[in-house]
Amino acid sequence: MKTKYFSILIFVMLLTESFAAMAADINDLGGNKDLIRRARTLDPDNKIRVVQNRTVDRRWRVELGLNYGLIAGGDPYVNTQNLGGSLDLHINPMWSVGARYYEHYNELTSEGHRIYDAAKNNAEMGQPYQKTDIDYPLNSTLGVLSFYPVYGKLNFFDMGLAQFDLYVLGGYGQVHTESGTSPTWTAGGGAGVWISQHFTTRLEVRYQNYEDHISSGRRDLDMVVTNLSFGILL
Amino acid sequence: MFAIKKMSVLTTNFSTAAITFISVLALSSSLFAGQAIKFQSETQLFDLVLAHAQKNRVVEALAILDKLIVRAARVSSTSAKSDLFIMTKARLLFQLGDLDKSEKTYASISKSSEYWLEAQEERAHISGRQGDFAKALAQLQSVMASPFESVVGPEPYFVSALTSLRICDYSAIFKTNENFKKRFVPRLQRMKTLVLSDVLQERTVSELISSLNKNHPLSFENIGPRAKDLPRNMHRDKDLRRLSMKPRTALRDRAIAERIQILAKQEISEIENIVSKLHIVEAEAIQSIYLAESEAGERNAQGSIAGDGDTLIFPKTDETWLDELTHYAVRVEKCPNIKTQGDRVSNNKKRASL
Repeated sequence: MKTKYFSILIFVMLLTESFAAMAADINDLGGNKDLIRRARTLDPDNKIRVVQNRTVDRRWRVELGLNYGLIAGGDPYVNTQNLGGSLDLHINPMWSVGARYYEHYNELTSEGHRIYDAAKNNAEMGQPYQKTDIDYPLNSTLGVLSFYPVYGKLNFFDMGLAQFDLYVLGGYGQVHTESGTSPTWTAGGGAGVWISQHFTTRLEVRYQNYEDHISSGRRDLDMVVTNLSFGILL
Repeated sequence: MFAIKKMSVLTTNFSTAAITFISVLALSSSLFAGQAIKFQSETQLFDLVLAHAQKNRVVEALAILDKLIVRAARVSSTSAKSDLFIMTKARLLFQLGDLDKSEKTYASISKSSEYWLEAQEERAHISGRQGDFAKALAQLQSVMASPFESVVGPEPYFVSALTSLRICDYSAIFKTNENFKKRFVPRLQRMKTLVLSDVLQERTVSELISSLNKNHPLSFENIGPRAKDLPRNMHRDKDLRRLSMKPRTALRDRAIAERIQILAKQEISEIENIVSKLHIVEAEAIQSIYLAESEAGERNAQGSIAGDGDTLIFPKTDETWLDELTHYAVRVEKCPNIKTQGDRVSNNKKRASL
């Protein structure tokens, strides 16, 4: 019995010894700092990249969208929101041409209300007042050309991945105001996220300029338009 | 023949006796004649394949394996058994020297298969054999991605180090060996603990063993997160699977514990083997560094990273996105062309011998 336990003890000790030798052996791997430094001076110019196909094919595909936007700037007495639609023809992943239509919904700013109320009060009291003239924008139509030079992909809260493109756009069209129509041009950029083969979303920020016509004459209006749209790729 | 006749006479059920007689006759004749019989079980046929392969009768083994693959595909196209047959076919083709067909066979293993990682690793091995080191390194990026760290064995590290040596990328060899150490020093410690201790006293192991029964046999899913503390691929061990199906008794649990210890020893032995090989690669690299510092030469490129308007190219970072697996492209610069003919021949011979 004693011999048996002694044999087992010897066996365990030998096994432990061999494991210790193995641990030392594996710890010898990896080189020392000087060797690693010398090896780095001989490094070849190797490159590793991830090369993937686009998950959404955008060659000769039509995109229809609905958009909502806010306008900053323009007439100082008016807050304008947009609701509209878009139609884009993707020629290839880098270029698209399209059209935008916006219906404008206007309301007076607090300063606009103040000016109007002051003028109205003065008029009622028979005092001189300044007539405030506003040429509300009613709708816009634009033709745009978009260029998509930058791509990327998003991890959507660990639920899925979506590829996106950042784009720049330029366009020309006309604004229909209360006084008539006026040419307009626009330039800006945005991000298009291709959620699936048929669903898209865009966030666009662009500068737009047009002329309106008030009682004192024509004036140039500059504005920044921010649009969020959801679309379907056909 | 007398023994077989006597057995059939003693059996009460004549049809069972007849089938038994014919099966034994068929098995013995098929072992010599190399012909598979339709009513043999998959296990018997697969054992026959392995027997042929061990005797280097690869063509006969492949013939039987093709029938097995067709039979398995009729039941399910994505079963683990079917994938095992495909892996075996790929390995037999490699043994035969048909590297192209072997590579194509490995490529047919789907990403959802439990053999996918091994298939990628063995594809990288083939690419290295064919001299396409850029492709080998690209394939190894998927195998050695961080999500698979706890599942992958030591062999891919050796393939990676060897490929880096073949293209004279010495700092990559040291980096691979460092990563190997980080991964396998704790792993060795864990296996050592399994071998030296009473496994049934370990909470991880005892919980697993107590959960195993006929309705809940050993599988990768049942092992779950405990896999990092247990011998690699133990769910594939035939003896363990057989034992796990038996009703729970102290004897069964002890047998499972002992089998786990044997598998732990085998894994230690596997790691030890790879450590030796990595030492050889490192020694060759150190010698080559001294030589390369004194020799000038131009490096030729291999592989390309190219895309068109429909491809996206991203840099590889430490963070792995699972959609990027198998989408790596590598461009390497191979060993410098040494000016002296004698030097070129001797250096290439040394590298090829590894």
